[in-house]
Amino acid sequence: MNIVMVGGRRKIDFLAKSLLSKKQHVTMIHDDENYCKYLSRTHDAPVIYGDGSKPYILEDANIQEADIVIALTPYDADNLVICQLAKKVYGVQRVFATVSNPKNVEVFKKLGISTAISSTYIMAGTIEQMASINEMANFIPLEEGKIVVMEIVVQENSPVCGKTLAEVPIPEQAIIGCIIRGVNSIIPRGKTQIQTDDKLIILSPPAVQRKIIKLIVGRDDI
Amino acid sequence: MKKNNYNYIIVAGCSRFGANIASMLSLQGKDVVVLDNDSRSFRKLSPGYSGFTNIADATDIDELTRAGIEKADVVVAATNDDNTNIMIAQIASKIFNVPKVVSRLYDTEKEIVYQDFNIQIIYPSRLSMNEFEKLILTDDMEVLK
Repeated sequence: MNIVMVGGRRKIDFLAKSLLSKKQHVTMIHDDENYCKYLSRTHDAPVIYGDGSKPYILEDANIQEADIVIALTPYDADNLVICQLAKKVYGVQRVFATVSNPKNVEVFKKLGISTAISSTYIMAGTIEQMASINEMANFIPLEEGKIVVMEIVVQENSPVCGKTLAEVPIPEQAIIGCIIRGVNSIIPRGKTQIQTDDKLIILSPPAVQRKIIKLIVGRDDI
Repeated sequence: MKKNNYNYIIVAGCSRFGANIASMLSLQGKDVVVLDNDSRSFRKLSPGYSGFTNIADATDIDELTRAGIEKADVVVAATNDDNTNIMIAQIASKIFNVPKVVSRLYDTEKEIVYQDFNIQIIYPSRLSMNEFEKLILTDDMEVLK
């Protein structure tokens, strides 16, 4: 796949390394000449020095042939224009943008860029959840938080410990999709028994999240 | 009583262009709010300017809401950065349905991103070109005399 990436420092460096190791064709655009030198020294991929929100620079990067464009600059407005140009002018199918202002995830969506990623947004949600509940080992919001994946560790004193799945009154909208027991992962059925130190992977909308935490942890002091 | 057209105007970016527009409209008795993230920019406003000045990032929807964009009749995107103007103008037009949105755009190559939007564009480079042509044309005529 042909991937064009614009701007960003550690982000572009890290992504380039990861994508190149997967044998993708990567072209990088950056507006800092010294950083361009660094990028081209470090990675075996073309690097273009210039303002990636200018059409002629994008054309230099052969954007017409690109399958994916990723805008990583620190300025949300630049990323918006890069993505809009890629999509509207050059017909790129998939565009991604990072945004520094978490509110802009919604704004980008309304302006036609539905794949804006805000690290602040994701991080804030994760930290908030993980900090509030000890047993929460992981927390991933999907679809702007419309649905969440929780990883909850079952403690000895948990009300569900020792019960089978069928005995646990899980709300209808939620599901225990997987149980991690040691190195094994189990797709649970009604007869599966929940044991101490099991990690439950739960998929639910945020509305019933509290209910589930209370059910498994025994308290809901979020 | 019928409301007069264009009474509440938000100018995003206190550039020379933005400041002059804001000053002019304020002198005409309109309600004007100027946004800029640098307080020093407001010195460009004329002494007679009687509108509001907000130190704010005009690409932030909360700041725009605070400036009253929901009841704005006109939004002018007048920062010195094309991409910022594009973002502000699109937010004003698409998200807040402001009836009249005007944006300055230096780089004519970028006008395509304004497609499908109800946004009026001012191109300083084209205006200068037109003016240049006019000057050259009049010079030529004088030579011919």
